[in-house]
Amino acid sequence: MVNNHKEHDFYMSDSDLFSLYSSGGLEKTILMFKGLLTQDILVVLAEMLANNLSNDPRQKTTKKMFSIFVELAQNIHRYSEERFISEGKEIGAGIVLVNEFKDYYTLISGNIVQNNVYLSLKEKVDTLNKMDDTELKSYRKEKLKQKRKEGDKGAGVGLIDIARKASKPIGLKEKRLENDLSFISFYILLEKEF
Amino acid sequence: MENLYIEGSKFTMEVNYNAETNLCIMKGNSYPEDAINFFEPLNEWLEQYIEEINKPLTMEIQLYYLNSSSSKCFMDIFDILDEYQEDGGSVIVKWFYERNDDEIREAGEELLEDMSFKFEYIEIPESSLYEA
Repeated sequence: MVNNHKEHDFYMSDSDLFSLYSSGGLEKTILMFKGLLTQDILVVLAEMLANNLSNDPRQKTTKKMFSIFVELAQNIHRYSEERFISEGKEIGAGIVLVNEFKDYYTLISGNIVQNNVYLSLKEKVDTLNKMDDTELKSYRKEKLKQKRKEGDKGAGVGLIDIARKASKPIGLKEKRLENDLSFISFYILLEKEF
Repeated sequence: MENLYIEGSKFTMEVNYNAETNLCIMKGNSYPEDAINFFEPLNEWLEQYIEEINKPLTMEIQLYYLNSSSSKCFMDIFDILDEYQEDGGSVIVKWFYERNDDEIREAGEELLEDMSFKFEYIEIPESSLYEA
């Protein structure tokens, strides 16, 4: 994953930080992070986010935001194909982006996975998006009661929790890469509640 | 048997399981990097307690935030206690939640609703979430 371009290329490159900084996607940004999502970084980002949102961390929106953010970030930590060793542990890398609009927040997370992981996630997301609150609740219960599969690090409940807390259906996009890999991104919208 | 104490952190609970007072306390945030690994010694302690001590057990849980994999691990704990109750043991679980914290209250309800042991929900005053 390391670029071997020469220093000359670096100084002459077209990657203009200001155009990234001021692009449509970033103008409302309250948090952006790309890199290794170690537990330490995850905790700092989650707390920073919660503190940024309001002076009152008890607000409903803040709690939901915290929760969705942690689930998205832990998914990257566990399942990203782009992995590095940090303090003896293998950690996934990815990108997270939180934007604020007048009546809602958006959370976007992205990372690289095998194509087949995308396909199974797509199926899960489609299923969850069709469920109403009651169905999501009983589906979650069923998953909590289910025995874990060998080597399963998560609970399979993370996406259900995101679906229950989000204000709109979960968005999932895919960009095909080489070698059976895909860049996937989750789009979550959270309305402000007062 | 020995007591179990785990110091809390920003993302893991303080755990205090005491075999002399028959009281198990968990308090704080729970979103560890590896929930199964964090909860494993808790489950082992409970299994051993049931095997060796076998007295009426009280569990007190006061959380500010728990992630999805921690929810699953709580279900494992409650399944152990459920079996203990059904086999003639006696268990009470006290689930504390801060006033207006519907998320935590509901998280508790969804975990506990079908359990055979006694459980109660206890409202406590609001504190600051991130000073835990």
